Amino acid sequence: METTIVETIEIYNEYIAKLPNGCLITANLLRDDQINVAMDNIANFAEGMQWLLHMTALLQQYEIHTRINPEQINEFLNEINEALTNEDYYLVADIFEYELAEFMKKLVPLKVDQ
Amino acid sequence: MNFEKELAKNGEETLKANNVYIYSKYAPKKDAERWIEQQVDIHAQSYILVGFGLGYHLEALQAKVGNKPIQVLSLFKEHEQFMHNMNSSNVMITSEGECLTIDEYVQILIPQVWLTIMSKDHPLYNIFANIKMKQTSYKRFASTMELNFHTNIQAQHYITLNEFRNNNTSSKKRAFLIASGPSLDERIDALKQQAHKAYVLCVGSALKVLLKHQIVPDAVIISDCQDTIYEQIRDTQYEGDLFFLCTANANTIKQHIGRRILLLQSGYRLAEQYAKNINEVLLETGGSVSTTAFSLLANLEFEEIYLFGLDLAIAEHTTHAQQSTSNRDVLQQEKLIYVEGNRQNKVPTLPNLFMYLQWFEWQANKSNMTVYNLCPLGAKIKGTQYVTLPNFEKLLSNGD
Repeated sequence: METTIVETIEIYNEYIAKLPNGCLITANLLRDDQINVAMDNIANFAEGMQWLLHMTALLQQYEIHTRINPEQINEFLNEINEALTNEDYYLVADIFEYELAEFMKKLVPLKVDQ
Repeated sequence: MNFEKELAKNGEETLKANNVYIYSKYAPKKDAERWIEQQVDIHAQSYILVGFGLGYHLEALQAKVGNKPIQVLSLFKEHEQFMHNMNSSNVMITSEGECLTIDEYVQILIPQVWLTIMSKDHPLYNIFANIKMKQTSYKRFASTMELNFHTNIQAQHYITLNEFRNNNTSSKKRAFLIASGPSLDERIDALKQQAHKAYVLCVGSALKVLLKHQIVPDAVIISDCQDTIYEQIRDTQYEGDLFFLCTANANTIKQHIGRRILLLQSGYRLAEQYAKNINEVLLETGGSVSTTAFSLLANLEFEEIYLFGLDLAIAEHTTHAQQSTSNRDVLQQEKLIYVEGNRQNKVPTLPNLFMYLQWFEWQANKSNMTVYNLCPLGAKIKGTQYVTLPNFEKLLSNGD
């Protein structure tokens, strides 16, 4: 069981380390009018966020706190969804570049000895 | 069109049109500069910029290209509202598309947002959407295409189209062009019965469909640069001819066990240079493997072409024949365009298929070939004759 928790923490830390750059890549794709490729990234991002929230809930059961606020994540996803519905791609790019990337940079990796 | 100016987070002005941001709401000028930096071909002799907005793209473009002529199409005459102190002798701003001068040395720059907010009924919408689609696709795959080009040419495992034509002793003047649209499923039995009466050329995504029905085409054609197209020939043991665009996926071509014939496309600089060096013909690709196939058959001087599976429309929310490697479900949010159908009054199609439809109509009208359309679920292609099954059999018998 301990091994599983350690592995989960390592996967979690690896994933959050990639998020800021991933957000910037998506923003650049949108600004470069590569909409189809960006949409694939956004779909993967949304799945990734669901996974992140799921991990947060699981780890909490072992008194390990990621400090991720699920409401804030959901707010971002709702904003993105609304902008996509309007095909407001520059707004989506702004959300990824100036809001999400900054948010992700502040996520703190979990220490294994926790 | 409802324009709204706003203050961006960095204090600059930004702009919305019908509630969609034309520029970033954080750093609008930097956004426009970045776009110009990524899009502009510095070797072009002049530029056409679609959309004026607040003039940020124009400013960035002028900074980048200096005194080269720039024409700006201010789609909604917004320059009258937002233009300040624009005094440049090399810039012409107009709201009339017919005032634009277009030649082969001009680069047309279209920020995606203008296509988003334009009405689809705007007379220039389809033209701009076509151009944008091709530009985006090329940009996405430019480095892969170049890598494939060099790998394919260096492999020297092919013959050229001229060599093929000189060595090809077939007297058939009739060709079947098999694409993998939904109609192929309806016509597969008829095709199987009559395949021996024509030169059968199929696109890569239709190969497995044909082989499953024991139809072995004379040739297959591929044009896609991506690794995923290997699936089209994998495990088929197909030994017939493979026509390939010089930029098509090198690994797939290498794995083919039959003869390979190189095709060089016009509009691609490396292909044009190589064709000139080896005195080879160039083909118009039209942007898809089916359009390339049509160009090839025209170049080979067939007199009659029968189109199978070339629906250029979607049926029951799928894009290709059931067994085709390219079949996918159409997502509900994809923009549908309704066009005249062969069997139905109106059929839905996608923007890229509509672009190919227009290409086929243009080609069919100027071609010397007689083109028959056997795609009941497909879009009507002006310049071709839609043929039902009984008439198909009659045509082949009369021809024989």
